[in-house]
Amino acid sequence: MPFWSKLVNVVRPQRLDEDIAEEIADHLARRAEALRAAGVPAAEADRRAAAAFGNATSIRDKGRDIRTWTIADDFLRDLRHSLRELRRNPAFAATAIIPLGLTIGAVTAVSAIVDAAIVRPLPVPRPDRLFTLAATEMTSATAAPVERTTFSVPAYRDFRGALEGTSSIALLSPPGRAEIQLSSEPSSLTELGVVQFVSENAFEVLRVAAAAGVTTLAPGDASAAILSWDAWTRRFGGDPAIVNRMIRIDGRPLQVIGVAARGFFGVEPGRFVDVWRPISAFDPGASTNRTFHWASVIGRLGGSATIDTVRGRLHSAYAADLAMRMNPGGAASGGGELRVVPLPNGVADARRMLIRPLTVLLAIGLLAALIAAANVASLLLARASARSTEMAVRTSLGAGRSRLMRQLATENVVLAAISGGAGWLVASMALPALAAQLAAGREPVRLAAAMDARVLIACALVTGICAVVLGLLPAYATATNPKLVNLRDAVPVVPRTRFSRAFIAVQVAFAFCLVDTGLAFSFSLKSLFAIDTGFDAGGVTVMSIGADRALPLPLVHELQARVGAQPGVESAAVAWWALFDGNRRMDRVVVPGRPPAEREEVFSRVSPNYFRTLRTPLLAGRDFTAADTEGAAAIPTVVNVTFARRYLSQPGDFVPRERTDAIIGREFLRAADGARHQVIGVAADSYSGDLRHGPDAIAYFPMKPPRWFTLYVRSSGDLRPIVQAVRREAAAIGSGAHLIETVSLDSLVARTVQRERLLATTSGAFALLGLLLAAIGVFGVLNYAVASRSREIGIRCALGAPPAALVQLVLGHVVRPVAAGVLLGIVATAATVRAASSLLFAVRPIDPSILIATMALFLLAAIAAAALPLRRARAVDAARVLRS
Amino acid sequence: MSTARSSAQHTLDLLVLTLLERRGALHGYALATAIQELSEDALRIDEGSLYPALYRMTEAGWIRAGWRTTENNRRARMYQITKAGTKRLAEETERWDTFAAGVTRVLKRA
Repeated sequence: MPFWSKLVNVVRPQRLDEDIAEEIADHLARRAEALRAAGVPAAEADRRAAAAFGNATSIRDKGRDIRTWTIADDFLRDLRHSLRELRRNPAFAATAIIPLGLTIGAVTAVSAIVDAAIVRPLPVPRPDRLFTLAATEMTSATAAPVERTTFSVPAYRDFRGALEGTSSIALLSPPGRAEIQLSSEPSSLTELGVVQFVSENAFEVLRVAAAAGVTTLAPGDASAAILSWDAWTRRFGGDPAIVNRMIRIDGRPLQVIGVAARGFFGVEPGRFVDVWRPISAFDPGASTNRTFHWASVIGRLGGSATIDTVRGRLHSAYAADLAMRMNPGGAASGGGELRVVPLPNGVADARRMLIRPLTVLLAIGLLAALIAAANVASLLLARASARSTEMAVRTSLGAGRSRLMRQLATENVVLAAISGGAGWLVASMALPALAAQLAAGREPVRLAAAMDARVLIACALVTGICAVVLGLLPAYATATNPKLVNLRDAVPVVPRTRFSRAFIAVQVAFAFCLVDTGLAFSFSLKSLFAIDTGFDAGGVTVMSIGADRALPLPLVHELQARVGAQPGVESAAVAWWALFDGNRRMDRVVVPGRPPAEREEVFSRVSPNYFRTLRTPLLAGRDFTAADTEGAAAIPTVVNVTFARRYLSQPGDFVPRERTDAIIGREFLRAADGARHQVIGVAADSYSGDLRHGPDAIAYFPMKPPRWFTLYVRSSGDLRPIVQAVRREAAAIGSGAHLIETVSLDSLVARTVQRERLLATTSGAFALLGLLLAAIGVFGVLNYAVASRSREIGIRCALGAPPAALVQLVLGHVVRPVAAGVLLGIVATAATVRAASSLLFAVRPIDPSILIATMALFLLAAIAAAALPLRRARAVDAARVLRS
Repeated sequence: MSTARSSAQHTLDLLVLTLLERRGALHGYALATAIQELSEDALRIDEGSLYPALYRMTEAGWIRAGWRTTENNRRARMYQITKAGTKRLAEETERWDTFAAGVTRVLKRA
């Protein structure tokens, strides 16, 4: 096997040498013997033998070349040489490896998140055989088609029957928050967890095994519960006696019948489910109501079935379901279409929210990595010019240009590889921090992000790109600048090639783009925080209270009064939903005499004192009193200014002067049930959900007996006694009323900008890195320029050059590239900001204040980068330099 | 390593392969001596330049090399022809015959 032996000879060159030497020695010995036998004296025989043989050394060399895989041999040599060089110049190694390693690490960390959130298939066997159903229906001939991915329980049962024998489907509800108590004691510690209702065959369809107990839910057993592995290890400490243990969910005692296999968290990447319960345990009304579409259908293709098979089978079942829903009589009023969609990655909701910001982050990271690579490349280029003597010596010893290029390329690739390894380490440290950032927030995104084989591939890819960029450099450089391998010049020449100048321009452009984008995201975040929310969140605590059944209003108001009377509490109020919590009651407004509106507005049930507690000013009219109830013919309602302007204004109300008191007394209807509302007051605008789209139009009206409600408390001082008081008062109400969650209004608002915060901090970090890299790059080039032109500087100093001339000498050839880079950067930034505009708030593509801020930062960085080289230039000892 | 072989290399290959085929395993010295003796001194090669040729042929897969202990308990690197080598031998022999015949024809008719 010649190939194998060639490879072995590369690794064990001494053996090859010995082999050849022995063969040659043997030959010479035999020849000398033959001559001695013919009578020639010994010494003469040896001489004649050697003469007949020829040049033993060159034979040896030729033999070695033939029997070795030269390219591999050269590569090993270059490898050892590069490592030696790096060890000898630790400072250079650091300036090259650190920036590259940091950026590769950052990109790897973001890729790990992208993989866990978006790319990775579900952790079940054969995820490519999973599918889900989606329906597009038209409720009437005129309305736009509605798309939904949830179905009703009866429809699911029909589908299941239709698919009998070919594939199996399971029903999974959307994961919801619930209180979990670890034991069956009613007063034991509660934690908030995630619960999902599933059909009894769900784990079978998904093929998730049981780590303990069973994962098949018996059809009638409404008190069964299956825990996730994560919940079992975290909350129950991996208790081996977990099966048959009793726990409480939302106050209900349940029995744990099993634990799902390790690594399974549900079907929605980003939402970790803690407990699964049978569908039958949900509201019994749901299992017969065909119009209540609430759960997704996930199925697994069986045997040789395909998507088309499933679609064909379901066609008639779906048509029947549609007919029954549209018109109980049987004729359909609209159309509908059922689609079968492959689902290897799981349900998309949490993922959809993350795709855009993560893509942007990934792009930014890659940009930074490219800057780092370009940076290191120009550093290496500058160094290469200083090694032109070495190159020239090698050439004279017989190295061809391709051999030299291979050597330089190997050095650069080694650098890239070491940086890749460093990047892996950086990513391992950064990933938990990044994942933690995502896991904080109103809708925590919990990801199973790990540094596994797929992330390794991503890291290798990025490292590879950098290696290619760095490796191709020497080729391009020597091709365009043959002086690089010239022995004649005693003084190394700074490559004033278009190439290195272009590099500086490109680096500056990239860095400018990064910094500007980072500032844009930060400004965006700042603008969001600067919005006047319409209420004063400082000092307001939001507490959610739940009970087993609807509570009588007088009791609720009494709780509100008692809490309001607590020491430290300024005022308290009660409302149906919590602000910024994601839940809102929306409805359409009908104003008599005007055409019905298409959009829906917020209808919010509140108690008296609400506006005072939240400090939302009442501009006209009055607040609610205890006498205002929902039962009146015309429901007393307070509307905000936006609502009034949109629906209740008449000419002269707002122009020329705002006369909100004119709105009092006007009436409107609620579309859903035709209830009549009469305006008793006008409140200032405030936000209730998203900060990004302007204040909502809100109509406030009185509470009705709630089963769950929100208590707002404005207080100062220690919160704990107040929380205790609330717990007491809730328990006193009875009916299982208890405190569910306590959170400050500030953090509720902050949670909604979690995505912007993530973008701002991460892109800010990248921007800083980019700026640093560009500064280092410019610094490096300037430094080498000074070092290699010290003779010229010395001469000019000796001839009496003024300091300004020195500055011009050193900085001269970077000023134009930097300026070009800035211009290019401005153009690139405008494009980037426009592309990311959906993620930005109140930031224009070419925002003057951001541009000015960026340029200021760049000026500072430039001054810092140039300071040291200039000082070196000034410190050049003319006499010493001239003598050398 | 260039693959274009000179006619001298072709001839050397032919000689080595023929010898190995007819006489079995031989070491480098035996080959050199055989070529010199059989040609009655008409062909003399630098003995050393035989070895690069042998190495090239080994890398090409036409002959196989291995250390053996010969008579007198002496270690020598012996070369043997391989199956691929036999095929190559046939090609080289044909090439040589064509060449020789061609030269002879020109000489006869000139």
